[in-house]
Amino acid sequence: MSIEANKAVVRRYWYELWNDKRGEIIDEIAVDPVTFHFPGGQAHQPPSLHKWFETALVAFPDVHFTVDIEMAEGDLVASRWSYVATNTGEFLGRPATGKRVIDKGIDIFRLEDGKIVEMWVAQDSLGLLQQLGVLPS
Amino acid sequence: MGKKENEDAIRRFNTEIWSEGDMDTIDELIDPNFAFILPFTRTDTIDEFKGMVTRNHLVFEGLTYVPNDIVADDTKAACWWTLSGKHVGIWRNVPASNTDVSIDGVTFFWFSPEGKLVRAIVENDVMDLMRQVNGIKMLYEG
Repeated sequence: MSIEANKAVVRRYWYELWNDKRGEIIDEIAVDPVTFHFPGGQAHQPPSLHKWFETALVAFPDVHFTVDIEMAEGDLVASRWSYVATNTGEFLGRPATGKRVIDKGIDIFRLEDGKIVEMWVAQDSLGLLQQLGVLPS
Repeated sequence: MGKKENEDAIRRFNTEIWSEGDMDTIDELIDPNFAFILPFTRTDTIDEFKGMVTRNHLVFEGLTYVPNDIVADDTKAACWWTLSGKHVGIWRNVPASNTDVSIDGVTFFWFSPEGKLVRAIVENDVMDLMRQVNGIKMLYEG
């Protein structure tokens, strides 16, 4: 697949999957399971994209991503993203806080044959948990 | 500058600047108004950045950055890296724990038309580093 085609798949990941909440496209844009490289300090480490999508929407059903920057080379695509979301459901075994949070991060995707096969995720987990009041500021 | 030159610059940013603390490489690769932005702090000049590199070497003995993967085009780059070192000084108000620490992160970089680094946004695993140096317990204790 071309670099532009890979970027298009990753845009579907952000906009169709997460912003439009179209879980049915997961199998069109990603293998199952995707190999995730989550930060060690990230409490939520789902085993699959299906599970990630399902649990994230319980905790933050209105999550909305903005991709500030994207770039691609070979089979890799990198995205600098941010989201806003309201915690209206259970998260990490804790009841909803009703708090609106903002988080930022950078993900790198590796694609094969037009599908996401591997992801490296970096985001401010400490800041998120502090915004939710799970950890003291 | 080209993609290959930018990849080389990012490799040197990690190995020569962050691992070796080489100030000459900072002068060679970095624009005077370089902005280095982390989740909890930032520097906005090359001198402030030099100070941050120096301080981090005092806080983390044997500080080493390994660039695991680099994606670059003609104006930008992203790098997934691994940091390691021994926590021997005060970091985010957490006193030296004398523990060996290691975290991963990803940094996005921008280059000037002359090929100098002008901006970087870092997402590092502060949560895990706080946990490794016993900082989470300190948060609860105020």
